[in-house]
Amino acid sequence: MSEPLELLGYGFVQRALAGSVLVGIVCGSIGVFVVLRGLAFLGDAVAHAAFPGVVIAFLLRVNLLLGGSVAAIGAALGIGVAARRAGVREDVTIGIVFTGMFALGIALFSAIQGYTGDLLGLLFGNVLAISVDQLVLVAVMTAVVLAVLRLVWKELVFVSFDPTGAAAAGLRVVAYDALLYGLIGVAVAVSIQIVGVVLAVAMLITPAAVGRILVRRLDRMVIVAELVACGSSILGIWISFVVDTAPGATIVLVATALFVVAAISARRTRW
Amino acid sequence: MSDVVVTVRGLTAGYRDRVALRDVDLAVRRGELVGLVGPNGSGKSTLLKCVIGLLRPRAGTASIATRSVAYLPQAEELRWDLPLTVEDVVLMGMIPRLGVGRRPGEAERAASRVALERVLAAHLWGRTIDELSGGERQRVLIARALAADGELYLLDEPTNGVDATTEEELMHLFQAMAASGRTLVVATHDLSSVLAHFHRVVCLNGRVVAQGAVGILRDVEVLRATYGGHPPETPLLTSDVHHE
Repeated sequence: MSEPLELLGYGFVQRALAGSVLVGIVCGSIGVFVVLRGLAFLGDAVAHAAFPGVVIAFLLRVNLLLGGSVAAIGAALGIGVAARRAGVREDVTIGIVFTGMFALGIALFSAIQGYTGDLLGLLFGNVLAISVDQLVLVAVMTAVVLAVLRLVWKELVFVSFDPTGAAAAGLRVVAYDALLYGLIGVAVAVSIQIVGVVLAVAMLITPAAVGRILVRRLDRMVIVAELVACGSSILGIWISFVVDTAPGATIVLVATALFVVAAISARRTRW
Repeated sequence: MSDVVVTVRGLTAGYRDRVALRDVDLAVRRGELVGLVGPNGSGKSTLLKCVIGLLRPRAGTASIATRSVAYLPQAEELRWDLPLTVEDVVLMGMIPRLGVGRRPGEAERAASRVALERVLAAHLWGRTIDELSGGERQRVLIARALAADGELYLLDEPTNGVDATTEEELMHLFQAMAASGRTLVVATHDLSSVLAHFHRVVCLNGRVVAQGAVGILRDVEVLRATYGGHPPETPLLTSDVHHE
């Protein structure tokens, strides 16, 4: 079952590919801001903080992606607010929220008897088990993210480049930062579907980092990031069939390999 | 209708437990080119930030009689490592006017090209910003302020890290802007430029030490009160002071 075209005949493979392309588009575009603003640790924290949301959704028998999204967006915004108010450095706030929420997830998880296969899938990703419902939800979330980005792209760039100047020009910098954090929450929630909680941040930062290395224009960086994210997903899923490895981990390994190649080739051409 | 654009009354402001500026009174009229001078930490940036509304005064008020303001922050506060072009940055000046959801079109591009030409930096158009020199960054930021087409310009050390020729060109540009009815308040360390080109000066050192015609900068007592014993240079001795 290793012929790519043969694989395409299976419904679950079609859903997996469609899902990972959508996630690649979301993570490619949001990941650019994560990389440029230095928010990788925030992204990782948000992914882990989404875990209790997923477990609670499982207990309440609602859509797991929905539970994860609510927790991820809540955690992203909560970290933003807490960092402003708590009077400690943001990385410390992030670390506390990250571990506290993840611990809550593990505690809830350990209380569940049986049926833990789905939850393990969410920890380590299970793109091949993506349902039609989940795919529809991912598609809706992708559409929302792209629409929001289209509306406020130039404002997000302005705020990232020059927050003081943007505030002076009348932009509500705090509101745009909150919006960006919320979008990171959404991107993390959908990438959990593909690579799981533990590896979700890789979809945000690795493809965008490849873009940062290879091109010097923001719009091109987004395109490269989306291509790398989608390409690693498709290639990773196929390789996982051929060598029989976990698809989520294989996808991340492909993206990591592309990053290493990009980093080496960029160093060679720079003189 | 009054032609006073900036009004500051009894303003005290600072950060956390430090008061940076005490009891400032200031009025700036339309078409004026006003310099803010004083040593580092004397409250120049603080005053500009209060006027634009970025910092709330502890006491007193700062108000502006126009909604069309362009602010130029100190260049080192910005993320020059982002993968943006000079065009991207200059176009930012027009973001408030465009509003959410509207992308810059041909008209905006043309306007930003004109703004770059006015700071003699048309050649920088397509460059990425991480390759700009200090002087080029300042020109690009001033072009962004010009593209905003404001009535009031608040510029925080726009000639920092700029070579002498560029500085002279920028001073002439500021003069031309003031002559066309724009109002400029410029924080600067360059006393001889203020003497040569500005209409009025405010000397700060945690408070207003002196304000009035730029000629007060020739007063040794004023300089001593502003800078302590060590003024950055003595405009008294500079030979390039010229008046119209």
